[in-house]
Amino acid sequence: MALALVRAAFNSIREKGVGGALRAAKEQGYLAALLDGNLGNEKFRLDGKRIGTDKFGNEYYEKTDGVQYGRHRWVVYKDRTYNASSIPAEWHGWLHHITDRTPEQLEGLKPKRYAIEHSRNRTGEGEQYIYHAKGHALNPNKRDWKRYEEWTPAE
Amino acid sequence: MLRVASRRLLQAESAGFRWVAASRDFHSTPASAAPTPEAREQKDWSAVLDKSMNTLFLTELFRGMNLALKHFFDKKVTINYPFEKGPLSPRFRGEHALRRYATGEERCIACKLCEAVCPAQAITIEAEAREDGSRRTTRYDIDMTKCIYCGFCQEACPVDAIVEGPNFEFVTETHEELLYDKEKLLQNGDRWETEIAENLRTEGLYR
Amino acid sequence: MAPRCRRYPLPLPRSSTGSGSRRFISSPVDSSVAAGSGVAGAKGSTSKALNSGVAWYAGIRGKLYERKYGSDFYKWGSGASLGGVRHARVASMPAVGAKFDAKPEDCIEVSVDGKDVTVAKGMTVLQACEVAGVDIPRFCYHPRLSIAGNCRMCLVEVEKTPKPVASCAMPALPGMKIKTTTPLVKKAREGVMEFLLINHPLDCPICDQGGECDLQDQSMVYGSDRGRFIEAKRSVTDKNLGPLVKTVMTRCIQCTRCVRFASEIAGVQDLGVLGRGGAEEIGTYVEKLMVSELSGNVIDICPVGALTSKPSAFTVRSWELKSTESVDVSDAIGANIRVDSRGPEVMRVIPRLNEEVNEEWISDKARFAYDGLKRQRLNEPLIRREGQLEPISWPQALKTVAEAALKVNPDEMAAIAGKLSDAESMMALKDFMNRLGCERLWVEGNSEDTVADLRSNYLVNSTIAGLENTDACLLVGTELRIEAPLLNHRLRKAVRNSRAKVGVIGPETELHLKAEHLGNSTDILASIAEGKHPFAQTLSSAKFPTIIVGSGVLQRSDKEAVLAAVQTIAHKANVIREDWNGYNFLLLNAAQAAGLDLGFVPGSRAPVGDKKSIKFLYLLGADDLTPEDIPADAFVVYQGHHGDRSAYRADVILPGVAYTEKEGTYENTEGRTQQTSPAVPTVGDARDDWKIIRALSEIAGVKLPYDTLNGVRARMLAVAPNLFRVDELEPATPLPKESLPETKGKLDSSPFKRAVENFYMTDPISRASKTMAQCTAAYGRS
Repeated sequence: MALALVRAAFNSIREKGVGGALRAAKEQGYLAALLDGNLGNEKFRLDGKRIGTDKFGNEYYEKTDGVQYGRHRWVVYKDRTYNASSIPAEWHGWLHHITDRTPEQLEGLKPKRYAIEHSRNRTGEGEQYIYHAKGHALNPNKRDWKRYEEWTPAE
Repeated sequence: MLRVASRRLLQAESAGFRWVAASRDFHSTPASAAPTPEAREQKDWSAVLDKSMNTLFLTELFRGMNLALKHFFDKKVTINYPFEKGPLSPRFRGEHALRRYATGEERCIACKLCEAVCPAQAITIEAEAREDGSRRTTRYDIDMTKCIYCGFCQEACPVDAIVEGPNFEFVTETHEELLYDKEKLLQNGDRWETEIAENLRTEGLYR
Repeated sequence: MAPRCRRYPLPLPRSSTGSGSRRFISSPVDSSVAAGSGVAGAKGSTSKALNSGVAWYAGIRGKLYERKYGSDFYKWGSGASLGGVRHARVASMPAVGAKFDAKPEDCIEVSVDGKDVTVAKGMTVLQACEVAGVDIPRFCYHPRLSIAGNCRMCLVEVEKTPKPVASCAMPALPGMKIKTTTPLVKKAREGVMEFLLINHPLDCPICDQGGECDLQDQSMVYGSDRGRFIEAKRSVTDKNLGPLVKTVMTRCIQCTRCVRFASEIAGVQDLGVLGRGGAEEIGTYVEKLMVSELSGNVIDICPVGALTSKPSAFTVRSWELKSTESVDVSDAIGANIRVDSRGPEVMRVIPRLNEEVNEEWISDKARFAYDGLKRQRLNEPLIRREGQLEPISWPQALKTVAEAALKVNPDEMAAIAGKLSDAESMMALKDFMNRLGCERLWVEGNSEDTVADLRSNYLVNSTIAGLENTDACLLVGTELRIEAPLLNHRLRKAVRNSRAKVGVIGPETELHLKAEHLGNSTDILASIAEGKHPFAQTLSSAKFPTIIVGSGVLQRSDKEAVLAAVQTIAHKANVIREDWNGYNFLLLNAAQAAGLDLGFVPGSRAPVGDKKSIKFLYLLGADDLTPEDIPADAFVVYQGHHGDRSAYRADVILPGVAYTEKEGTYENTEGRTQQTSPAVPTVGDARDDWKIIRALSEIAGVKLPYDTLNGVRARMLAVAPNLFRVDELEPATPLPKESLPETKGKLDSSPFKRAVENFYMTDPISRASKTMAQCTAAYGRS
């Protein structure tokens, strides 16, 4: 694995030059990987087989031989500030070892008429991103919980 | 004197008696006798050398650190969340969702069986006839903070409308975000239907 | 006894619970003990001491205990009607036998499951089992309907018969050995249940009757655990019976209870069975609505979810409702109801068993007008400033009213109690007005100059249940079916069972029973009084003649002459006697009887008749006045719960509570005192009516001497002691003809007018109800 890393580094220096390679590395999140151990763990893990990519850009890898069960499937998030809930439904089952089926095999189960885009859990990011239930104070169409209609004189 | 005492100790031990401090032998034989100068002299020079080398060169420290270094280069067993996730079962009970039929019609027919069976009384339902005369809910709330994620509601539902999906990463920073209402649950269902349907397909026969 | 083509079950009186709607019953065992301790019999049954003791306790100590369903009505096997009120009966409840009333020489001995029981002659095997305390499942049998015997669920084994017998139809013969626990019986029940479920759709999740369905309950207890049916089920088209009854005829098991109910109890021959065998359908055949004021009761009767309530379709499940026992105030009968509520709203209204008042039925208005309780509610005090109504606080509102009241001369004040007022608020209002010097009070429905001297002059003296025994009845100026549907039902029973003759003087009306319309003029009344009319003969030759006078005659100018003529007829035809008083005055509103008992009538010094002189008018929920009746410069205070007509004219509006939100005493038209119970909390800032008046009196400087509900009731005890004794009927003593006062005035020949314009919209609650509006549109005025 370390060899693959060194080879990849040399390739990128050869293609882009040292400065370019470093800039590319920074953009791809390797700088952040040095500061975040978890991220680094995945960024520098180059020997998995890429199974697919989802519509957000997250990449899914698998390595079954020589790897402990439970660590053989992983995702590399597109977003540097990764969020665990940004995995869409079709990859969720595969990544969580629930099923071996990848999205191409689950295509038939995807609801054509009413499926909506997956969105990550945006709690804490601001009032406009979270869901306002019908009793939420900030919901403009907050339901009137009174069970009766009061009389208003209609002149 | 000490030899006499130690022989008596050995005899006592061989006879199975535990050495008890407060006894009539207490004053006659000191219990934890410090090594007398003769005992100290019984060590030989190699032992002394060993001991002083260990102290000088911090042997046990390096032994410990070596162990740590060995573990440092070992393959870790810790699952690297959030890039790797722990294995789940297709029957895993997570965030609730309200499903629909393939035509888009919502499945829930307001039978209120889930509300009745919920052990935590987390589900609140109000129902009415819709304009087309069918039986639908006007209010279907699940208080996710009351819910105990037992799965009784999905077992009770006769039409597989309410299910517990595989998502467990729905943490929120405020309490009110966890009081799900019907729209939110339907949205959940629309997002996660692919996986919920797959899980139902593999496990439905056996549940 | 007139010969009948249909067989009827012998009545197993449940009179021990008839007046026992207020029992403290905490468990089924207690209820059966309470039932067992009652004495079977006719009216006024239960021991007065026990009842008055209970009522005293209830009145003095208030509602200390939780009211459960009360009667043994809700159990099987003790003569209770199984499908009469929807319920789920746990089969493991201890069974105590039903009681019956028969002389020892009319009894026979049978043995049920090895136990010897004594039953009356003519009882069926099913009733014998009920006396023994054994449960028999049934679908088509109902104690108040004729025997059909078509569901076959009641099959039991009788020794020495070749086949199992339908116990609901087989009369019990002396020495019969009835067995209900043998394998034959078990197999028969499982088989019948299997057959019933063959064509029954898998509708339980969407059926409104789920949770209180007889088919569900009986299949769990008596049916087998698996089915063998793999073919296709049949389905039936739904019939349109109107805006009240929702039909899903696929679920119908053809028990024909609704058919028998419609023809026997409601008197309309609308429903029938079409087809045979598996193709049987129940319906009206032609595109006809079921037009009857008792049509909602088929919802209770139907054992499955074929006939359900349309206004409350899909809204509730029976297990999430809280039930409160209460009394209906839409008319003067005071039918006992059970108000089912979920949280702060009333979800449905169901009848309660009371043998003496309403049996198990209630009228459609009582059943379906509850959605008016949610609309047009007054929830805060309002005051009119520059023609606009503005919200105002309670102290301010009361101060304004008190100032206005004190400014005015007592002769120029008046107070009207509305139709739905309870006795406590009328007592408080009367005391308040009297302390201010005003004696000009009357209850809506009575005329302004009503006299309440003789109690027998304004009650149904034969009692509601007693009207069944009549064999000749003269209706004067009343449309009985519209004014009091449950009293009409009793009359219909008399006509059906003993061929009673009914003559009607009044507007042409359809009573759904065989009646002779004698005309609509007072001349006919005069000729009967003189004895010339043939109907006078009918009345004189009858054993229990009755006369029912509607309170619409109080609005006539010649009312005294009319009432005098009726009294003449009554005394001539021996209607009023020692053992039987058949002179019945039918009141229209729930508040009238209590108001008259409390003396809510103009005092002798009140300047009655001159409406122009009123400067201060206190309306306690009175909405029948048109704006022309009230002078333009009068200060009008409206205290009520709905924004109806009078709220538009009022200067100050004080929000009160409706009958489902208060514990109020009401007296029905036969003189029986009953109480409502609060089922739901009130809306907004509304307060109890008597409390508003008490607060107002303190601010006006004439503080009333009571602070608590018991205090008001103690005052009521002093004024009209019968209003304190709840659930007791206080009969009125009639006066002999000689001591009646002289009547003034002559009869004028104007025809009798209708007292009720539209049956479905008579009070503020039903006028605000969407369901009642739909009924008016579908059925017209009645």
